[in-house]
Amino acid sequence: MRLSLDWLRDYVKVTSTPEALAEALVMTTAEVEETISAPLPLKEAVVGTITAIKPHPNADRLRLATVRVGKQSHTVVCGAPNIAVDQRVPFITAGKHYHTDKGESVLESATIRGVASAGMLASASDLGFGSDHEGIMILPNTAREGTSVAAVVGWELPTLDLEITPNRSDLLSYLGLAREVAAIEKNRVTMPPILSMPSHHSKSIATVSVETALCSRYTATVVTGITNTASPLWMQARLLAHDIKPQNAVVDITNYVMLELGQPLHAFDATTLREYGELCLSVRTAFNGETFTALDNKEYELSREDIVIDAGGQSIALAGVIGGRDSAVSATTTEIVLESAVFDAVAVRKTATRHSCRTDAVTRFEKGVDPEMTVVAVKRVLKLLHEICGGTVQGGMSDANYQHSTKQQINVSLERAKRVLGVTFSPTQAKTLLTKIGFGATQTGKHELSVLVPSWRNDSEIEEDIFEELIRLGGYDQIEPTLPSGPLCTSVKPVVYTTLSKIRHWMARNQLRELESQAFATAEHIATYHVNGGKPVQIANPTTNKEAYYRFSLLPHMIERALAQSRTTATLASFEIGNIATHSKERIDEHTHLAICMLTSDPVTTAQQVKGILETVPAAAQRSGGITFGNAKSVWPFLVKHPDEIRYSGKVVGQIGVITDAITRQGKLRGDRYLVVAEVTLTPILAAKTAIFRYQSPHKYPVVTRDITVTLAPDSTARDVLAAANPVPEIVKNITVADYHQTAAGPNVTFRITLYDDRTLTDSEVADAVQHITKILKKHSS
Amino acid sequence: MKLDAIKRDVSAVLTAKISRDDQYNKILGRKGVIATALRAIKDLPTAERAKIGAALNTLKIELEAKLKDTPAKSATFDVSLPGTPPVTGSLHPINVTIDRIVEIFGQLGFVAQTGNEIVSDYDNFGSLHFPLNHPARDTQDSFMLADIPDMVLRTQTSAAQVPIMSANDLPLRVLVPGKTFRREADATHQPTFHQIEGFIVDEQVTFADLKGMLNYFVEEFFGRPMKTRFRPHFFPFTEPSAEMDVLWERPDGSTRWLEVVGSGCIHPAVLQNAGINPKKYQGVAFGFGVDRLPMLQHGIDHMRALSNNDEELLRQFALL
Repeated sequence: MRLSLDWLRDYVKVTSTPEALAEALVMTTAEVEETISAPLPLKEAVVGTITAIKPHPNADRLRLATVRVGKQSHTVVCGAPNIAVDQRVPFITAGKHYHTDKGESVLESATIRGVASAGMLASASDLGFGSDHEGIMILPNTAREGTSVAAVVGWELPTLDLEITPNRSDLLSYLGLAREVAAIEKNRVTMPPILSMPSHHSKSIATVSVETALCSRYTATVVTGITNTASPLWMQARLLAHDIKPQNAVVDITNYVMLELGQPLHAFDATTLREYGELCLSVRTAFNGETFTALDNKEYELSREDIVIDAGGQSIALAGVIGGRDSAVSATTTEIVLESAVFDAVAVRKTATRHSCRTDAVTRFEKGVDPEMTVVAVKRVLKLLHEICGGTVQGGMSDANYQHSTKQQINVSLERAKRVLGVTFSPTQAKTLLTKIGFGATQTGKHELSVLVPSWRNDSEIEEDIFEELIRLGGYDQIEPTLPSGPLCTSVKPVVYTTLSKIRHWMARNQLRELESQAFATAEHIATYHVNGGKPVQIANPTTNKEAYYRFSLLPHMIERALAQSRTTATLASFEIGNIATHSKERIDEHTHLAICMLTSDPVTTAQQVKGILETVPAAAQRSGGITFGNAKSVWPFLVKHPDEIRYSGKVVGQIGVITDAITRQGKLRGDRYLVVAEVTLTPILAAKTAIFRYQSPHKYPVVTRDITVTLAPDSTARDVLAAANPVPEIVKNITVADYHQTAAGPNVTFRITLYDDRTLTDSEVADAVQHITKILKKHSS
Repeated sequence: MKLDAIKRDVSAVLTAKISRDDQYNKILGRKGVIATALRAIKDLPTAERAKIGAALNTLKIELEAKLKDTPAKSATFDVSLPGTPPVTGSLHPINVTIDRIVEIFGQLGFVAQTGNEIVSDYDNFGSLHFPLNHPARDTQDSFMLADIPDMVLRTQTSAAQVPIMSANDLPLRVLVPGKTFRREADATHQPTFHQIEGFIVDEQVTFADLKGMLNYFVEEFFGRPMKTRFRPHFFPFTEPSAEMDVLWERPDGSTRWLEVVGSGCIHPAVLQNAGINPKKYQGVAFGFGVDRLPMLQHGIDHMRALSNNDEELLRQFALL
């Protein structure tokens, strides 16, 4: 909601500077998102009077206007057709600014077709004030020559753009904001002048019936004999400052009063309604399939969930949302039916959402309007109509379904306020603060108040709401900050968080780089990377059609990222920890995964490194259980054949392998490089018991190592060979692969045998053990 | 055995282009020229033994001094070469920030918890006093699931409030960091972002405590006293509600208020939804948007640079 500080002064006296008022509003009422000053051209342009118009000697479409600004007269070349002698117009002197789509430009002095022009006459759009560029902006004859056009249109002080929170529907009006400012400035609110009607019980010539529970009040007032000219410049200027396009006096007045008082209003062309029959309006639910053409020229197909205003069987408005096209007021309208009503917030919101039709009326109705403002708003419109368009009110006002609302009463304990807020309010202080903004407050006990909520504050329902009023009016900046002093929390343990944190740090210590990807997946990801198990979780309303699934694996984004960045880096080592999900029927399986993605030119060594890191994960995370590897039984189809499966405490938790050529080729991976990937679910590790690692005392006797190199047979793997070596002699503590490289004959593998016992081993027993193993290894070599 | 021949062998080794250690070994080592010659003395006629032996010992002493005294290695090392950067992994700046926030609130007794990213509409909205069809939901447009009704990608880590409150004994001081999702994407918003929820439920914890904690956090996090602004706001699940801004200085010296954290006293309806008696217990809660914090701290100018996982950017964060 915009708040013009010029306009605000109609309702409350402000003594603070604009900056101080803005700051005070932030601290009590609403955040100021932007402070908007009048556009520079509007401030620089001055009022001039056209004293003569002559044809341009060298151009048919141009004319020479003589513009008088005080004692000086200027000749200006002008192409606009709407100028006439004696008009007051905005004049921009050469050297000052005018507005263009690209911003503000300096007006150069120019000679146009041989005649020097001292400046330009400006349209509204030249001044950066609205989009009207049709003709020169014509100012009222009361405007004094030489004054700034900004002053003439009433935009001298800044306009504040306020972020109104959804609970404060009362702040979507100048009246509501004036109430807050009055509390800040310790002043009173002045209501705008209204037309006094003899009694609003004297019926209008239009009758009204309400046939739905979703309209708690409907009033109609008929005004005839109006002249619907353009609204006065000051009103147009105020609407423009709120991004509302001026149309004609009647429409502008209803919009103006909506901004002023917060009550959405609508005027129907009564002549059109008479064509449908008597002026009998009813508020009813729409028929299924009923079509309605609105002011925006769109056709809406309605259902029983929508409410319409009906006149003679025709839907003339979608209640609380938008008026109909055919009954709209135009410049030729001479009589109107004015609607002021209260529609159900949820119903209006649902209709607006269903039809994607958001209007200023919706914004107010969906948050709830002040039920006591319905009639005041009508009287305010009538007052402005009377001044601007003339006309006569026919009868009074038809007022249907109105029930006087009782004010909500809330008991407030100031002792409890102290317990919740940590701030003390005396009953007198509290009463003063609350009455400043229209709440009623009477002391009912030593620390107790009975508070009456004003009709416009539908957000105040419970004692805590009143605490908020007290603390915000007392000043959040007055709160003495303290720290909580209660007992510590011992019932919840941070096991999962700290375990994940330990794993992440362990990965980083092992030279892996952590990624954080978007948690969405595409249909292509599913086609390539989804393996059996649950179905991917589809998003019903994705922002892009592409990323239409919640991720089922961490790898697709990591692989895409590695391929994209492979153009600028030779190798990459990355990991990510995050949640993934699949579902079967309506059951969602969400798990935390760890994935690793390595770009490498040596996939065998890299896979060994990754496995080494994975093997240490449980210990590094202080969880029990161990990671082991084995031949994968059901192979992930995006991996080159013979990937390994990863097991945790014997259960399969993931796979490790090399990404297929098909994928890397499509990703334009250049050079002799590969992607080694692994993905595991961390769920069982996170659920495992805590295990603190056990220290092993240092070897007391020499450790013996022996290396044996063999060339593997074509169809045997290092794992087969190692498995065949079992059982090993007792003094053999470990056999690992110390070196591996491809040769023409097959892979050359160097096995390293570690032998140890708690005594010095003899040469011969070492030789025997090594020979035993060598024999087995040789059996598998070519 | 000719002494001259031995001396010739020695000088051959000394002039050979081998390391000083090798020279030492070849001359004075166990199988070196001198040792071999000394071992051969026993084969010489007795008369020559003493003479040759004395000469060899003299030569040995000379050579030992020579090979020991010569500056051997240092002259060949140029330590003026520039340093090479250490090879390290790195943690993502977002997670470094989350760790830091968890650490700071850990000092105030908060315990970090995790929660699911796909949650029920009730946990995300209903339990937090967001009525259905209420405009407050407009501020958090949620992703819904195609095949499963009433489930959403959580729009706020606050979705973990009622489940954690329901499942644990009081008092509670809990932090919930994690990914959150909203249907909005522009220069400053991504559909996936990160939040940290924090809340206390206890018999005694006040709005003033909340302000104090947030002030403490801001000062610890930014490492210096910051000008803050604690001002009213609205959240359906807190009453009263507040936001805290910090006065942020741009590189050009100009300043602006930056919203850092939303907060408030937990609404009694939320406590009730968790089966907690709001007459006996009360609470405070706060929620940070995480993503902007590392951007502010380290001068990252585009959110996309963070979410693209750009290697060049991430590499720099090895220092964190």
